[in-house]
Amino acid sequence: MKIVGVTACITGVAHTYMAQEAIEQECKRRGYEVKVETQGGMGIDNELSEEEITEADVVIMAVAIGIEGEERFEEKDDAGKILTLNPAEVIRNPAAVIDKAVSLVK
Amino acid sequence: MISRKLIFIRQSFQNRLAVIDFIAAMADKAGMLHDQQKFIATVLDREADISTSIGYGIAIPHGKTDAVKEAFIAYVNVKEAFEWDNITKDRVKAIFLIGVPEKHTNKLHLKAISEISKKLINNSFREELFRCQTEKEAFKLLNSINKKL
Repeated sequence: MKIVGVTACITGVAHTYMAQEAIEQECKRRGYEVKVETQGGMGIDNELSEEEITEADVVIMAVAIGIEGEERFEEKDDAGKILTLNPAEVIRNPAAVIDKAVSLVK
Repeated sequence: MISRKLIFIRQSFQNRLAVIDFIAAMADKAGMLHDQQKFIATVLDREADISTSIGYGIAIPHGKTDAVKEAFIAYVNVKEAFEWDNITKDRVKAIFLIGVPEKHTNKLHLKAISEISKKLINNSFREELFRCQTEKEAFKLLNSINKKL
């Protein structure tokens, strides 16, 4: 399983990075490949390439605001492989969110 | 950055407003704020928008406003958990209040705050944090994260 994600919150200081950590931690626990891009107060970190997005089985958008480079995900969106939610949700319950994301793959 | 002056262990607060008021006053005293009342209003607006309780007994109220002079993160831990808000009904015992200036933010400060935030997702780190009985212990633990930057 390969999961990529983008996290972004309004203030860009805490939730963005906590959501990243929550996704990474839960994916690693399950032995999934994971990469999470953050768009926060420090700009864009861990930026996802077109190739990484193409190769991913599913995309998690834990975003409370519009993001940069949304067009990179159009193909995944058309394929119904994007799970969009508020960053707070994945922080609160990472296992349930990853379960939901995985259910989009099958 | 986390400052020893902005860590308060085993406090007796029983509601969100009281703890935010208290930390804002302490942050002002430590020279972190231009306008204490404006900062409090911004933090409460953000809470009204969506609760900053993240689960795990932790809340991270925050305000991004020009009322903040320098980015900071303060930590308060209470003796008895209390209900943070009437929507999530989460009982909270650890509060991290974050203040960030609207513009010209020091990237290193943001990095420090984000690193502490990330650690809160980690079970064993939270256990360690909740075990701290003194300001000194909590400072040592929280500062150890920032030392790695």
